[in-house]
Amino acid sequence: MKLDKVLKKFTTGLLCVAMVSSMAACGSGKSPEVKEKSEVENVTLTGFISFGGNSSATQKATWFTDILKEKLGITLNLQDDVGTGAGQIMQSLLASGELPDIVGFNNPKDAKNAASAGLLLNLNEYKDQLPNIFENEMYDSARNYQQDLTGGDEKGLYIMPTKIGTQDDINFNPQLRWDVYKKVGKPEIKTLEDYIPVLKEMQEAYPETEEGKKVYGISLFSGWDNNNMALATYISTLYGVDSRGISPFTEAPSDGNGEVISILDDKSNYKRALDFFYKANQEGLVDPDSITQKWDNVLDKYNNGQILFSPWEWAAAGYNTTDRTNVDDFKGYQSVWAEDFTVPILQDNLIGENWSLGISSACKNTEAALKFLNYFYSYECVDLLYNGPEGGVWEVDQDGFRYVTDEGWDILDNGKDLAEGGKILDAYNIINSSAMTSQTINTETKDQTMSYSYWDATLNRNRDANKLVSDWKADHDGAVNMFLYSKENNKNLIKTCSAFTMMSTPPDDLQTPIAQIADVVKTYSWKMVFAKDQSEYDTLWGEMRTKADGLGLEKIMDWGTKEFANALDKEAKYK
Amino acid sequence: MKRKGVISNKNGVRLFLLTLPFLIATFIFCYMPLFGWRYAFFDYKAGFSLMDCKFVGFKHFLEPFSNAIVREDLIRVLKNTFAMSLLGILASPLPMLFAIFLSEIRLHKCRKIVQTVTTIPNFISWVLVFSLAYSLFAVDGGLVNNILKALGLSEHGINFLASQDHVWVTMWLVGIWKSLGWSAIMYISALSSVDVGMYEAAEIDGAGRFQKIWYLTIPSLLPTFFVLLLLSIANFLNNGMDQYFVFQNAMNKEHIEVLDLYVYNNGLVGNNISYSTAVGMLKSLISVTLLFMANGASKLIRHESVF
Amino acid sequence: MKKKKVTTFDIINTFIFIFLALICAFPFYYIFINTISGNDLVAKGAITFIPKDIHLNNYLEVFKIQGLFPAFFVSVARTIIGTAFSVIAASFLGYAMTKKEYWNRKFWYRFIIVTMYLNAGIIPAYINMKNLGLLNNFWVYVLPALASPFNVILAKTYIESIPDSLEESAELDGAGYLKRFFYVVFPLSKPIIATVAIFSAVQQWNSFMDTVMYMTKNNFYTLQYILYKYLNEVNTLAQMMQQNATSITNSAQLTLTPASIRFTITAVTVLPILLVYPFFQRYIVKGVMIGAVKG
Repeated sequence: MKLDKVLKKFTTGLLCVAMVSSMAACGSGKSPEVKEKSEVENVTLTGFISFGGNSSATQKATWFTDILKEKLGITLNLQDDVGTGAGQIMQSLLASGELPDIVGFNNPKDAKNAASAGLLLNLNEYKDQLPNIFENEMYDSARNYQQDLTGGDEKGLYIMPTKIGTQDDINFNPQLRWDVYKKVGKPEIKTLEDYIPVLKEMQEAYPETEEGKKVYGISLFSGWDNNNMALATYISTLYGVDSRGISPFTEAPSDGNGEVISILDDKSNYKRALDFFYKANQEGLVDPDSITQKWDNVLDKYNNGQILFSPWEWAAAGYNTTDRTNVDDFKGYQSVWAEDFTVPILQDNLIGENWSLGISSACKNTEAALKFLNYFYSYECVDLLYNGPEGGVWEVDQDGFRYVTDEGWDILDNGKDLAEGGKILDAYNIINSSAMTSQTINTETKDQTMSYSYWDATLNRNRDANKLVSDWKADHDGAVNMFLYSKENNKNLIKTCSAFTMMSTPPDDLQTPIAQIADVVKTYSWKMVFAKDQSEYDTLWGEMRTKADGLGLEKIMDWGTKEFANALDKEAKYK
Repeated sequence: MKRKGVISNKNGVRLFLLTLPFLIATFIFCYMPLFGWRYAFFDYKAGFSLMDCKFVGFKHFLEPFSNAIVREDLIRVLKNTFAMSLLGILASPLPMLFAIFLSEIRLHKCRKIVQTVTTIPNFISWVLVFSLAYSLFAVDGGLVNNILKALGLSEHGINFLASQDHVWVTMWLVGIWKSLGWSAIMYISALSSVDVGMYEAAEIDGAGRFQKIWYLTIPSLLPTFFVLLLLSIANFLNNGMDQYFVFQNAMNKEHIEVLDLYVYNNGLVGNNISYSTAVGMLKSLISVTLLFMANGASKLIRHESVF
Repeated sequence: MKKKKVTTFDIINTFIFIFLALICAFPFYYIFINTISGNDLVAKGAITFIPKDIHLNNYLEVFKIQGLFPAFFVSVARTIIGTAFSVIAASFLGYAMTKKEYWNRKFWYRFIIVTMYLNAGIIPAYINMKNLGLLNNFWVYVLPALASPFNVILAKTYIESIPDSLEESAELDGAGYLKRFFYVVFPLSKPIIATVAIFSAVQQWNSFMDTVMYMTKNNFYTLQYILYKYLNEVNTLAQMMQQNATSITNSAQLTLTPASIRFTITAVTVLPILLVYPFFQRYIVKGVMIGAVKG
């Protein structure tokens, strides 16, 4: 520490000499420094949100920044990690020993380091200024959990997690081009592998789109691969295993009941997903550009209706425009699930997610920062983040219930600007998260959910949306969507346990082997999908396992299994 | 020997003092941060004082070599690195030749336009180069495959970008395409210091066009050439990764993965500060060593050192 | 001057260069026509050689990005100031390093050159800048690039080739180093000055990692940074959806930045360079003109 100070003085001194002499040498240059406009009683808070998506949004005036300014007298000046990757900025900030006023951590490890290095305020000491955090019972588990996890010996509260509250929905919702599926007579899909002949039939019945684009069964891309082939885990998830929340290379049943196995195990669902892609490719169903294309290209193809299968509802939704779905000759994507799918339901997030917020101990305007944090955890703020201001897209009916207006739907469906300017997302984007989940009940309104997406009026609207949906509904007892249909019939769904969010970050000495194995797994998985024949496929699988073992997979598995058992214990404790 | 030096030494010190601000700036911005190399010898955790971190000596330097699979990988990666670097060095006379032959173009306008236009690829980021390559070579709707299909040369199209054949050469050519016009600028400017009188004299002596190029132009460009060659030899291990990163995929990875990309792919950067510092430090030291070795070799062979 | 007859060599040579120019120009041409053609056609990848449905809306759209114009001025300022400093530093250092009497010349020259290969890592660099008080300071754009070793080498190599005799006469008149440099050497080195200038200008114009790392306030955001952020936002959003679709359920909000806008952004960053480049080129090409004289 001392050394650093001496160094700092020395460096500054040297710089002065250099500046002065270079000025003398080169004539005086005027610095184009712009004086900051300081408004009365308006405090600017700086911040770094490592999970931010668009925090530069704070640097433009939007309806939300106006609200912050008027209500709290605060202007935010946030930065994020977009595009720089690998958390370099967060590491630099931590190493420099000084964090900006508001800090968002995307993993508990950084947060813990920051807390134990004394870089964060202990929020427990400011209870009276943070009533929204300390007086809302909903946050109790989250606070207790963080005090134990990152609070150190004195059980301080240094960070507050985000996305706390109720959840009851699904993330993955396999879709097919419903019109084409209907055309081939809606063949039965008993299990995952049955998609292949069906897709084959569909492709033969519909080889090209109306615009003459070639149609593929499945289109893959590698851009979201992290520790494994991401697309394969999206498929394995449909069988109720979680291979993303848990430690790398491990899959465990979503509900926490059952065996933890390696994704490189012969009987893993990951292997099954790879088999599925491989066979699909053998049948000529896989888009040949899968290896090289980016997400943009895939989305373009979905928007053109070129891909018959989608694991997500939202990705395929771009094709379901009114002019396609609400005509007699309707076209579009709808849910078609294999009969034996067990899709994980998102569970109540009592302790929140791993993304968390804290206040820097170097913050000069502690009061303002606390004010902001307090506001962020209020119902009022969360409401704004999800729904925008009243009169924007929603209004209150005579009974006091909220509903989205017709103009509101026009704005939402077509991505238009609000009447008073800006987009709804301008608010959410700022932190790229919110204190509560979208399905949390807003006790300040008539117990409606936080987000308009789950209001009754919204669900009712979807019920009679268009001819495509009606046709699908006729097959599904008039259910609004696949999730509610499965829920009513009590099938195809599996609970998710919170233990997955309670997994700790792997220790430092495992980081390197994890990264190395991840590289092997990614490369080989892709090669397997595009293998020429079964023997090449099997050889690659064997090679991948040998390499992964050689790089120390066992150590990581041991850690993961133990850690998951711990997490399950923790879950029981905080529930 | 010393006596003669007195006056010039006084001048020399004066000249040194005149450049001192720049030297100080170099020291501050390039040498001071090297103090951070000390992280390489600890298990450093950002946020903590180094005193609280464990001293581990050369652990981070030796770790990669302790695992048989990593060693095997490293051999493959070094092979790629050497291949790309050697190809790069093979291509190093190209900008010089480009400059020479460009100067032989008679039409002034044409020359100027060619020179401007050939620098354009240098300004287009690698990410965009890839997206252009994708729109040209994609199987679905790519220009080249559309043509192939229209001509009936290929039924389903060829997946050029996922091909694992000739990766080194393709990458080499793409690299040349991007940098040739830009690198030639240095030689073009060096050409302007050539003494016109010599050319006139040579012409009177009846020297032909190629003789003039060989005996006058090339020798005048050689100093620049050798300096740049030396710099690229020192960069033998540093191919950079942007180009290879955007073009890499599971199929061509075996051949495209150069050292910088390997280090990135294996998450050695970012995750682990100590580890990535060790890698950076090792590479710096190797480069500097190569630089001095190449300089020494130049002294032996050309009896002239560059530095 | 007598006119030489056009040989086969001339024809082949010119032809090859025109061919090279075409492959180099095509990508940019491709980008450009995609910025002015109908956006739905661009999204379908239908524009390859000829622009269709020409319009300028994409440019208007890009110019609407908030903070674009202040950022443009910051970029221009850093390019001009950074280049000016860099040119003076590189050419003067290059000049000084040609002087045998320079105190411990070999050591100091190597001291500069070696920095090309020294890599301390991002974090130590950040801490260094913080200690220097250069965070959120415009000079962080200028000072670190001051003595670029590559430019120094270029300048030195060029200045070495200038005959000593020219400077000697000035020396006899009693001119000091600075005078000799500014009045004799500098004017003679125009081609290399122009080269160094264009190198550092392009580097200044294109760099944005320093903004990412060292700037937290929007006063000094550069054009490249703003555009880069703009391009990346939507991708991040999509990735977020994939992680948890319930956070934002309306997929219409997910519309990707259209390909045409992405192309426009590239055009906007590259065009200024292409417009300014010919001015520098005048000096650089001077050398080639000599080639023309001799030819």
